[in-house]
Amino acid sequence: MSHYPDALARLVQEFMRLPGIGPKTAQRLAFFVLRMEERDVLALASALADAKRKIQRCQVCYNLADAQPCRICSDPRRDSSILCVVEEANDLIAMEKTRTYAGLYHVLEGCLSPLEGIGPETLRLPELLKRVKAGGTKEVILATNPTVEGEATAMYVARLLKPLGLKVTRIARGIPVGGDLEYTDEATLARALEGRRDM
Amino acid sequence: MPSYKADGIILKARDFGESDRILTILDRSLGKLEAVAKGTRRTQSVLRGPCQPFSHNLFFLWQGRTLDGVSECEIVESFAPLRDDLLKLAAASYMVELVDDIARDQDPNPDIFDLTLEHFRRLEAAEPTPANVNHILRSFDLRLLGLAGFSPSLDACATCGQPVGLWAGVGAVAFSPVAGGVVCPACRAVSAGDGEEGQGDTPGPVVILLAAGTLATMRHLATATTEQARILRLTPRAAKEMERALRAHILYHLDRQLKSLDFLDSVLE
Ligand SMILES: [Zn+2]
Ligand SMILES: [Zn+2]
Repeated sequence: MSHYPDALARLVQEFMRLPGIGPKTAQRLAFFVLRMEERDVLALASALADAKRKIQRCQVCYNLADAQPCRICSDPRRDSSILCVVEEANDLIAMEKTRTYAGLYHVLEGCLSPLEGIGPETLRLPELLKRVKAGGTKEVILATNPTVEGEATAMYVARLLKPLGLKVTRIARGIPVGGDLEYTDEATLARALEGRRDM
Repeated sequence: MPSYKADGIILKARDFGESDRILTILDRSLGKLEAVAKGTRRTQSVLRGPCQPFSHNLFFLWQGRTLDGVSECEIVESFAPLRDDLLKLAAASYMVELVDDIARDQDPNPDIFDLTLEHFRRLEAAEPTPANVNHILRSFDLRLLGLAGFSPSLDACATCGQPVGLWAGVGAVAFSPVAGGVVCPACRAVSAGDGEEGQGDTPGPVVILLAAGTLATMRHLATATTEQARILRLTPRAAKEMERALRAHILYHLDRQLKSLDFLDSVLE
């Protein structure tokens, strides 16, 4: 780093902390910043600081939020009798983009990984139970990823919720849009068949 | 690029980069190997289905400079039921973690590969109850320890070598993970730091008491075929004592707690 002036070296170092960014990319980004208008650089810097300062976890659903509770939790038009359980806040955003879901969410902040020793105690499960036990929830939709870890998490949550006597559902798994039957593995095909519907 | 084939079980699949996974594969004759499966985390990937933990596949691999990669993959046995039930998933996770750890510095061992497959099949076919899972895991533990050369001494005192028949009566027998198996009363009396049930400085219990029947069951399971083991009845007491003894034995040998145990315990209760 000694070829750089100090301030530039620091910037390159900071970029390298970001995921997926190696020395070359960090250097390219740093040179790009130097060519930017000063006001754009200041806007970027304040956006970074603002996001860090203002974004917290919603204390109801654990979504990322700039208000307590978050905008989804405090929206009176949303159906509070349905809870959609997701692994991370970005899954919630993906669900929102579909514009077909009008219930509330619960973000677990992770998933179970038996092989990595990541157990139920690391997830927002006591908070989920407390929410459901407080009443008003009729259905919980388990929208964890269709990976081994996501499935394990869904099964575990379903087992926790079953004694409470509410409807627990799992999002359908099957052949992706644009997929090809011939190249679909047996497990996915079998699930797609299970989840078939009338036309 | 040089390529090769592998007939293997996926022990682990960890995320790598944006959309890849690195697989830990146990091949029947090559032993343990690692390979990257590119694009597996994309829903359209043809490798996505086969490249899941526990799947037994025929792999077509390319040899890379630092890491080999999967070019094609054909499912032999998918073992999907091991991923679709919590108890089975917890048990299979325990099995692969143990194999992964015990096979770490071993030469390729086709017997360990076959043993794992046999027990996957048994687990797949079993009714998912805690009793069944414990039964399968104990027979797996004992046979795997045997194949890896870490068998607990069950026929003779682990310290002085006196055959069990010469010193064991009808009462309980002491099992010492530190000594590496059952210990006779004389050796138990002189061994330092002796205490029952979780005293002393070493992790886990120092001595576990086994009923005579439990010891007989363990000796049988250590050498039984998978089919012989399957039809053996296990009393709840024997199951509990074996679990405690073998867990302590494995903990002592690996010198670390298996990561999958907490999850297993949380679904077994
Ligand atoms: Zn919220
Ligand atoms: Zn002795």
